[in-house]
Amino acid sequence: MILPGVISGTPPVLPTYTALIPTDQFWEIPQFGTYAYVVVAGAGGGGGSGRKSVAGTAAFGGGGGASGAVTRRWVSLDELRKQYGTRVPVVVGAGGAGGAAQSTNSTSGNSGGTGGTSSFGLSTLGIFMNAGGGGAGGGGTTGTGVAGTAGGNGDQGGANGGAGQSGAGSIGSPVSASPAIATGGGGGGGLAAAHAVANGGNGGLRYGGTAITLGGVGSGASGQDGTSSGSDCISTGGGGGASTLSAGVAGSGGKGGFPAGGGGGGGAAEDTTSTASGAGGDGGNGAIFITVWP
Amino acid sequence: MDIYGLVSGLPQALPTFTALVPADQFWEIPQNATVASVTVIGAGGGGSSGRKSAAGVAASGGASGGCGAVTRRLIDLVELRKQYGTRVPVIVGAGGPGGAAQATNSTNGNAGTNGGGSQFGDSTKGIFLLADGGSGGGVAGTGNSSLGAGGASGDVVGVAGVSGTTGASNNGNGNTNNTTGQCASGSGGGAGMAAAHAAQAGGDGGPRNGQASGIVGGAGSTRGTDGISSSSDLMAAGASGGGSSLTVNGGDGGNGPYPGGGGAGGGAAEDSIGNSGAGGNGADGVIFITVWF
Repeated sequence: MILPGVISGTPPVLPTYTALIPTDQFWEIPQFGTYAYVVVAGAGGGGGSGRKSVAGTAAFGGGGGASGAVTRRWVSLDELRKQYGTRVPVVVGAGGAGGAAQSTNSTSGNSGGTGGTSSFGLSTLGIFMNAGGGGAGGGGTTGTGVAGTAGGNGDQGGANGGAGQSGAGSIGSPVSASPAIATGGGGGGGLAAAHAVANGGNGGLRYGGTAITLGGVGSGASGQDGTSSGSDCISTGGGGGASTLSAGVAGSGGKGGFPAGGGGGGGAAEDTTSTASGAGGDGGNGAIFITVWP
Repeated sequence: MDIYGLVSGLPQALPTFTALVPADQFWEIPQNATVASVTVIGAGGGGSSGRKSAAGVAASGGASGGCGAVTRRLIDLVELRKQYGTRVPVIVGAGGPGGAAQATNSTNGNAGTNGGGSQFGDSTKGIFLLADGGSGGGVAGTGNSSLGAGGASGDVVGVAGVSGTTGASNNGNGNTNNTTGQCASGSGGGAGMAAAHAAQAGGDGGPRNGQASGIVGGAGSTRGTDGISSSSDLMAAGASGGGSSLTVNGGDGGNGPYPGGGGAGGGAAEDSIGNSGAGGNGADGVIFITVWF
């Protein structure tokens, strides 16, 4: 028996590993190889920015963005070739942009962008994998800083963002008892009616352990960027920014880790003394990881 | 027959399989390897021992320990080398010892010890896998003993143990492994005695998927049976609990199956007659790594 490819020369060493990014539109099915393990991760949502308020009026921090969903499957390349020919259309979701900082007095913050959905194949054909992006964090208002909602439409949903608050921002939702791929971003710190600086919330924990992505601590401190796994391991969401009463801007939310982490929410700011609220952090891009086997 | 690689006279390297044990502290990343499948399993908690009581006072059997959690991932070794260099720190959890038999009259049994968590990598880096160990079975008193919880953190939560009871025989059968991907079914609780003392059989081990019934619990005063180890990333079957006794020592709980199974509970005993049964040991955790070149 002569296996495909051997006749024409030396086959490549397998397995091979590929990571697709948002600019990729197709995956060329390799000539060699019999099956592939495909991981599809939706992108993280962006965090919202904080509100600006006059003293005596509450200003909530921006909500943290949520993480994207994930779908994992073994795929037969013979069957894939039957359905798609030589290449498979793919969509890799881009991380949702963080909400822009608010520089206008007595104005609510801006919502972040929703993380993009990632997909492998076409929904009209048999082999099709999908993973939704994480929801965006809402801009801070006088009463809320809505947290992003976990990405769905996949094997395993994402994790919610943390809410922006008038005090310390909420911690992003963790990933501890599921095969999810990223945690949520922390909420931004706000200002209660009697204005006082508050810290940002940490990015969501993984495995219930110690926080590795901290929210901003102290006036105007930005949240840390999330930890990127760069792989099919758990990334973390960005930390939320702290609020401020001082000149300058409030703390920005940290970026979500790659892949799929939610962005942190931005901190709130005072009308007369501060230039702007903190911007929300961008969500981490989605990804498609493909390992091809002999 | 021609197969890949033989055309050039050099056979393609075959995948390699490694099982890390609690003494291991690092995993050396093989040169030229491209991809690794990593399965991390936490250790099982130890079962607790039964109580000793005078006639007229109830005595609970020991509870079984919880099973370890499991996390599985396929990892690109190029990315792993970027983050860790040549080797990855690992922790492989050791199984929790079972509670020692109780030799003192009118005294509660001893709790089992928690199983250790297993982890691959450093929690501050991007590539990091973790699976908690199961908790040990709780102290057996005059009421039902508290079960050991399954390992909580990981892709898949571990199966919980069960309480030892003071009631009828075979209350305290282990929990069934009915969720895809868990490492083992639960072990049985030890048999106890109601206030009107009577010897009872220990709880059965929980059946694993596709198994009609689990390992039968030890009859009165008899040791439970050890679980069935898979010694692999397949489901193991939980151990059975020890029987209680009025005439000799209570039966010890069976040891949990490897990897990650919880130990079974020990049986209760009567004052001035014999010791209670010891809890079974939880099984060690493990990290299985298959590498392709």
